[in-house]
Amino acid sequence: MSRRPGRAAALRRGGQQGDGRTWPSWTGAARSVARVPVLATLAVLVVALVFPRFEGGNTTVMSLATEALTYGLVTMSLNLLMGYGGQVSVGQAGFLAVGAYTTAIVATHFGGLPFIAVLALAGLVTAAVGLVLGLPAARLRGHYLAVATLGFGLAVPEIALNGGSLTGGYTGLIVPPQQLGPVMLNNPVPVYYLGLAVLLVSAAAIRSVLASPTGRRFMAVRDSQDTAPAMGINAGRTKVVLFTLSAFFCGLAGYVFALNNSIVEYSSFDFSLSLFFFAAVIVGGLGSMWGSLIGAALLVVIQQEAVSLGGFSEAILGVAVVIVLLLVPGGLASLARRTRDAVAGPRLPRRPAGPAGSGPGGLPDQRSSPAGASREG
Amino acid sequence: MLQIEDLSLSFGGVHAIEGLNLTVPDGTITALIGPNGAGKTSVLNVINGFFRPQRGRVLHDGLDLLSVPPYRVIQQGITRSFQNVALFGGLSVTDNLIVGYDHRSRTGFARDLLHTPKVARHERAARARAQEVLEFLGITGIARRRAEELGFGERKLVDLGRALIGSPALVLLDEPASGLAEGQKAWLAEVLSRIPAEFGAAVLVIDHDMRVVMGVSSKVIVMDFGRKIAEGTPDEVRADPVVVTAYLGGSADGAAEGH
Repeated sequence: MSRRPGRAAALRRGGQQGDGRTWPSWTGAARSVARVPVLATLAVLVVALVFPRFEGGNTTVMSLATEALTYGLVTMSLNLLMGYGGQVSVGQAGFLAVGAYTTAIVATHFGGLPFIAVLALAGLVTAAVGLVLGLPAARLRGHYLAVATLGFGLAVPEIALNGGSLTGGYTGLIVPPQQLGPVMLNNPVPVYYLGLAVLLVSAAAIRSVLASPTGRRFMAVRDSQDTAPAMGINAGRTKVVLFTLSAFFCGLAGYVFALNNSIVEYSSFDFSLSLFFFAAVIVGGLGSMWGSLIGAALLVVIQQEAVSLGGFSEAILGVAVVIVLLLVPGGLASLARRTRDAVAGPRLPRRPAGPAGSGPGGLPDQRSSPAGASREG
Repeated sequence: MLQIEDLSLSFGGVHAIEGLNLTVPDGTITALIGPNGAGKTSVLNVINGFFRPQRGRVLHDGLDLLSVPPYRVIQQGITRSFQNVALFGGLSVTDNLIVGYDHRSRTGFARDLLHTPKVARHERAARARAQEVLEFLGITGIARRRAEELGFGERKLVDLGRALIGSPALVLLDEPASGLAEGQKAWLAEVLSRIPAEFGAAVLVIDHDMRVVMGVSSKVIVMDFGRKIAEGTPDEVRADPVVVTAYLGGSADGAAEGH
């Protein structure tokens, strides 16, 4: 596209000329984006890795831990859709169901397939469903989109219930154990590690996509759908891609879900599960990958503790969500950010100010000298 | 070169543009001025593909822009800024600029997921280019700030940078000076005047503040009630009695100061 040669060089020259001529009120100290320190990430990873050494004998706890990983991945996929893409879904359990049923059906009928092929199929089939849902969803906004995804979330378990021998109907499908090399994935510890691996790889892929043209398109459509086309963004196509990707990761979670539960039943994927994921994203904080994991883990624990209270477990979950949102409106991720700012103060620029930054950029923050800069016309 | 021939656009019974002819030669700055409601922004929205006119032709380097969807117009080398400065608020200043550069990326979402070397190359090139544009605009200090934290003047410059980063052949600027303080207007005028030389781009700039555009434009077109009422060099237009009348009967400069 570079029509005229030497333009970049000319631009660089221009930049040097521009230094020092800047109007002072344009300037501002750079504030880096919030990043969880590498050390904290490693600490959490180590805890996750050694966890089975202490609780490996307790099948209930291990299964619950794997459920937290699974729901963490679903919440991440929903966060990709809602937090980064600005689209609503209150039917995310529908995608989880597609992934889980695909796993059970494929593993039953094609027992010889390696686990990675079953996992990939769970992701791809769910992605295809996400694409089909994304086509109409791309034309809808706000409440209308919420209702469309609600319909999807309600329809999937009904279809599974009436799916005859393919889905097992009311009784569901037993998931045959998967073979991972020499390891049989039929007890909680290997399934836990598999879930952890799927979660880590998915999180890395989501991070990667967010730092790429595709991810910026998601966020551009979220922030200003009407002007995005002027930057070459096809908003409808972008939303279809977003739904497809979100569904893909949800399908991978469905694979882990199927293995962890050993049985896939329509009743596991009712509307309250979709609401659970919706709540987990909000509680964790929209647009924070860590927030999604923490939100999902917290809600899994609360729900588990509330099970003994019978019919009140849903109500307790709801009350807990309201309490968190009243105390921390931005979600738990914003709590971490605020704590860091309170302890260390807002971060300074990471990069030492070079020649370009030392001119205008080194002057006081524009917010402290807003003369005219913030005046709107 | 941009050529607009006999362009007419109406909304219901309201004629926004009537029989407009104009050209923007390569590498020059052309100003489109006129009172509020004269149809200036509608002209940009037609070029940009946001509005489809009832009559007329819009050609860029001989290609009919009216058959191009809005999100493909940038591929024809045409970018724009917005009067209401619709930045991507949650993104950093650098990422806002890079969105204006991403149309060059030919990697689909599958490659983006895997972050292949091709994606990494695009990211490096985009970041380097964004840095150059920030230096050109004199705002390297705000590169990492989120767009929604910025003051209005800074947003205006980022919006301009987002239009420039894609190395366009033609930049459409919608009231870049509105809402700026005096000193900021002077800096903006200097930045504008350097765009053709530094970027090799032609500029079509809309404004009703005549002082900024008069100083930097080689040609000025005046619109009122959807029609072109005058065209010429800044001095010719300033002396044109029709223009003076359109601007509320006072001197053209004096009237503009009222905005």
